[in-house]
Amino acid sequence: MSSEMPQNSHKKQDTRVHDVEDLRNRGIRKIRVVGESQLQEMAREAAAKAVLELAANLDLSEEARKSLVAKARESILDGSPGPSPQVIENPVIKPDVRVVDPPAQQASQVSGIRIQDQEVLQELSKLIARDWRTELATVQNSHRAQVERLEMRIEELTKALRVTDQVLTRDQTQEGTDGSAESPFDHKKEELLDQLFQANVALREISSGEIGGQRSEGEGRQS
Amino acid sequence: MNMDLNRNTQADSDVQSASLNGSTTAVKVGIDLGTSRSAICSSKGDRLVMASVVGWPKDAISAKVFGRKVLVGDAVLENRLALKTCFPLKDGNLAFTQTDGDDKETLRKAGLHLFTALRQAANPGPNQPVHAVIGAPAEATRENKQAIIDLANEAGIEGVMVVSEPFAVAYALDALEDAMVVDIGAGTIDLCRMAGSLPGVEDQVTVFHAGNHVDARICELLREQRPDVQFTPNMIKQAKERFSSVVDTHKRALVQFPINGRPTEIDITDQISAAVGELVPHITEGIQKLVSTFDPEFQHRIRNRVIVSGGGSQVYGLQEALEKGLEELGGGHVVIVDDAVYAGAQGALKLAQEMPEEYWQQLGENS
Repeated sequence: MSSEMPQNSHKKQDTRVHDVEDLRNRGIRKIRVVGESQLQEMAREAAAKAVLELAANLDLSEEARKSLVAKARESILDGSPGPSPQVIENPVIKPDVRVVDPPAQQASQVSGIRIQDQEVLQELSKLIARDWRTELATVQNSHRAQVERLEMRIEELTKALRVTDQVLTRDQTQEGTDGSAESPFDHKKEELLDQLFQANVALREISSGEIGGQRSEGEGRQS
Repeated sequence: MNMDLNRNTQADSDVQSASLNGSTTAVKVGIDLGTSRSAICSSKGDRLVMASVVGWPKDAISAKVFGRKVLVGDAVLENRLALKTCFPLKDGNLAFTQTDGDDKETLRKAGLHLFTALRQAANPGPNQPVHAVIGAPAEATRENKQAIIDLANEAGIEGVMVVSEPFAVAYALDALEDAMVVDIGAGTIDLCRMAGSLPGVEDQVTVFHAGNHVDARICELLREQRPDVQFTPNMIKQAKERFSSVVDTHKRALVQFPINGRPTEIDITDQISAAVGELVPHITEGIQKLVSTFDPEFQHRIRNRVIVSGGGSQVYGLQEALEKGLEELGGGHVVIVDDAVYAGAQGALKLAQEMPEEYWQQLGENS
């Protein structure tokens, strides 16, 4: 907490400096003091995030989007580090810690990977949000329909099996006395085939004028 | 023609096919002659579905590009900008039988080319005869049936029998008794009750509010609600076949249609659902008509075995919607055929194969 800073000197340097009392009156109880470099970093990150969001919402090709993000990264996160620190020849207090800066290339890779990760995560998040409900519904619907059809298929096969069993049983009892094996539909089918044939013959006869004006008994409606 | 893309081997299904008979000299084929698509199954094991459309090159350049004077099937739809196209079937019937004037001969030729392409798809050997059972709408006129026979003969199919399409489906499924078949096509919805004999006039109903009407209705609704969207009936048809549903699901029908030339994602779920939903009352009305005129003692039997086939049967939620519609009649059970596209052709093939050979010979002599 460093809110209790002398205000008069600041007023002269920066017109945006606010009176602490004024801030208190506005309900602000705590203020975090942020260093210049940290502020710059935060600003860069915010700008990078805004660019990423903007790029995601634009109707661009993947290539154009990547190019835009790369340019943004270059100019925002990998840009100039700001003014060089002033070198003090004889400091009053010698630093008691030694800060080892990471190599520039490594830092660039780290921020690059972070942006790529963010990009991938954003894409994944969007894809998942858009598709998971649809996919789930599709799978559920497809599954239900398949189960229903399988049930019906099983029912039909069971019936067919029962009929086959009946035929086999009947065949076994008739074996020796009657050599011809007929399925339950054979006789009916013969009749149907005969009727269909007759209907087609009648159709030809009517058309050729042999039975002018008459209607066929079987198939369909005649005009 | 893009036949190879459509060629399909016989998959496992509830359609019972007769065993292949290599001893007969003639190739037996079953044909489902549809307004939008036609399917053929042959005794050699081949089966194929193709768009029922014929195209002629618009000019000398397109004729050179295609290297043919006429194209049939899906290739026509793929290259329609360079072709004069002609759909030889309308509302399930050969269109030339209902047309007068200059178009009549064009439509007749288109029908002939379609039959020729179907015959070629059966892949007969040199001088090998082809015997075909061809499915027609339940209420096809006598003139139309005769026209089918004549054109098929002209295309080189020696023996031809015409059968009602839903009856062919029933025969494929061995549903010859106590059943009702509803065949939902592009031009017609054919309903037929099966009572153990060849269905007559009183056993069949044809509804003309079918797939093509649904396409037209979706176009109408989309034009009303999104006048800025650019589309063709063919784009709507493809979207409908991909997304059609009569129930509200989480799955959205999202299509890429242009607006001012720019491809834009459009949600047409509501339009498809509304238009497809309009089919249900027409089907239940047809079912009611056939049930109510049936022997009251056996009405419940056919209600409890309603078999739905044809391309339109693949609409998601149709089974539940029809069963709900049947509740007013005392309830019923609806079954969707597994192999909906080929069920009719498969049944027709089965009829062709099981028809005694002497019958084919007689028809061959008479034709």
